[in-house]
Amino acid sequence: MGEDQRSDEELERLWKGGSTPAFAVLFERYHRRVYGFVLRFTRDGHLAEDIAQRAFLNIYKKPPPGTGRARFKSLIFTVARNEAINELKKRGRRGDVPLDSAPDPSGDDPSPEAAARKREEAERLQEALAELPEDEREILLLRQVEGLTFREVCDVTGLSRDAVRWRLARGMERLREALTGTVS
Amino acid sequence: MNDDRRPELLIGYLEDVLDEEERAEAEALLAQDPEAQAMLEAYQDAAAALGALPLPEPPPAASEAAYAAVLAAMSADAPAEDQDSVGASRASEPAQPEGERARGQLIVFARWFVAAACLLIVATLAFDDGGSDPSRMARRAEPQDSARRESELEVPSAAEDDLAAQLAPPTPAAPPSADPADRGALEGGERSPRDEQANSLAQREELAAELPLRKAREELARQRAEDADAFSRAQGLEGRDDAPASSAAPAPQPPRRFQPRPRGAAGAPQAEPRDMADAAEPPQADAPPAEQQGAGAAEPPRGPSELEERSEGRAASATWVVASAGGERVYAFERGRLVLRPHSEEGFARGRAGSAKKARGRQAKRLSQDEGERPEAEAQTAEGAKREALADGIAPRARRARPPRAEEDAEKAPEAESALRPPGRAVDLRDPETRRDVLAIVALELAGPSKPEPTSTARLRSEPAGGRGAGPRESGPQKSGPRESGPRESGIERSLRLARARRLLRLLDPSLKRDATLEDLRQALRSLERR
Repeated sequence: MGEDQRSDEELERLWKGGSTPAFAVLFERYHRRVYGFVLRFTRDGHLAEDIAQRAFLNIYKKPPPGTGRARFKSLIFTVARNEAINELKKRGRRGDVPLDSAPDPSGDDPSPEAAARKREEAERLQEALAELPEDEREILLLRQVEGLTFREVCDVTGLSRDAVRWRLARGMERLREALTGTVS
Repeated sequence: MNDDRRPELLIGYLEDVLDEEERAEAEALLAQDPEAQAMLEAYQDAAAALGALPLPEPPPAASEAAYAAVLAAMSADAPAEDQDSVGASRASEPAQPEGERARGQLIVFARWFVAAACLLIVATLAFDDGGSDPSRMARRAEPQDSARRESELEVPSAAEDDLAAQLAPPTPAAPPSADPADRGALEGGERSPRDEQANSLAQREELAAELPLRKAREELARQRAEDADAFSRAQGLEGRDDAPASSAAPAPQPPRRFQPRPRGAAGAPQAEPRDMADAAEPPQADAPPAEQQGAGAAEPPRGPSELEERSEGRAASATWVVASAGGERVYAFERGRLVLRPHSEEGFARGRAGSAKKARGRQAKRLSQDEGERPEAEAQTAEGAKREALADGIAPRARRARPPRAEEDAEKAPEAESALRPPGRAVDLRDPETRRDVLAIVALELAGPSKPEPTSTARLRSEPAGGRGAGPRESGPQKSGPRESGPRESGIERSLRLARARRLLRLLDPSLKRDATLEDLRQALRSLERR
């Protein structure tokens, strides 16, 4: 079995035991996701690059204590989120997602119409997402976009279960309203 | 149902994070409210759409730069070994944070340090001049045997050379055995089970902690024996058949407390050095040669500097009794202070005599146990201690039953004496009477055994030989007769005497140098007396 097929937990254990290749695998596995999360959160491509790099370096230089359950995913998103929030506080405003960096959601869809429709839906969704308050947007990004579990979202944000549920509900409701144009 | 609560309830239902009551409430809502059903479907669609958002690709340059930065950090930390092998070799190890790794490295360093200390001690014991005492030879042979066993296990050819075996770097798996249990097994020709288990770190640390103490104990015993030997030779015992052979077999001898003989003959007044542990000042190194010839005529053939060096640091302890019209005053040094002791001399003498008797009894008994009855003695320790306590009139529970340790007992016997001694009170050197007394004492000390100082000695009386209170107390000039007859004074006694005088004078005149010569001391005495 190749090392890149190992679970996050095993890779994290190897890394904490001194294996730098294990950390390289984790880097390969999560760098793009962290970059995407920070990009959607801050809407600043350069800042997202910088924060993603810093997050991995910080974790590598200061490994977290403990040998419990796999925490690398939660940890890397926590560091990136905190870095992003700090940067946003410093700048006082959100950036703008550059158009040339927006991904093409069409994928391998052969139909040009379907591809255009999907691209349009994705743009609307991202615009609606970008309009959400930061606290709700980060929850939606972590839970719905990045696919973290409810518990991992609680770990990353440091919020309670009810708080995460409330913010997630608020964000989803706003998103639904923005997409359907209806107000409950 | 409040409309504001529906999204939270529905999202909770969708995320499956509701408790039973909320779940029932959400299901009731979905069953009754079509709008809630639509909301739930919208949430599901939005979640699916969010999950289907394509992952943005970082610019290739940014990704490469980030990876290069992480690789640089890795290469800065990783050793120059195959990283894959490192990962594979450490796969089974528990994860360690940075602090624990550093602590582990420290423990490894400490293990090597302990092993090096053991090797150094073993080498020192091996090269030490051990004399012909069989027990000492047995003690010295034990680490060599241990080292040889190790070398035989590791490199068979090294067993031919004991020195090479001793100087070989210690392997952490088999340090030289110096534990008493192992020693007993070695002397009996057997390997004890503890010798087989000597690989643990705890044992190595215990050995390393015990060896310096044992070495220091042996050095102390040997030094005491040599001191006693020097005194014996100074008193003309050298060459006699019954002279102590302590220099030939110093270490394993029963500890002999250094008992300085009184300067004068029996019955002569003197200042008896009582507690050698009361260290004071270094002895005088530049004494006049004439006095050396006169006082140290019977010195053993060793240099005066050696004798003075040996007496350094334990010079100025004595007790002086000054008789005057108002009575007797007993001066002494206690813990570096000149004190005036109370006059319970007879009681103190009785207590000291009783304590010395008890100490001798315990020492003799435990020495006999050490020689051949150790197993039985260990079994009978409690009973013996009880009998001892009853014989001494002390409640049995006041004593601890413990294994016999002759050396420790001998060490503690004089301490018990000093514990029985009534405490003194610090003297007030501003008091003219006290100053006169101190000057008289200094004059006595400077006079030496043959040349009494003409000043103030009429007021001074010191105790007779055999201890204070052991003989009749007289007042008046006690120094003249026997001392003028010329009892010989050894170099150590002379150094002690001058050191006591120097110390007393410095109490009165702090400007006096610590290395003041005899002439300086005499001048200082005359100057102080003129004042």
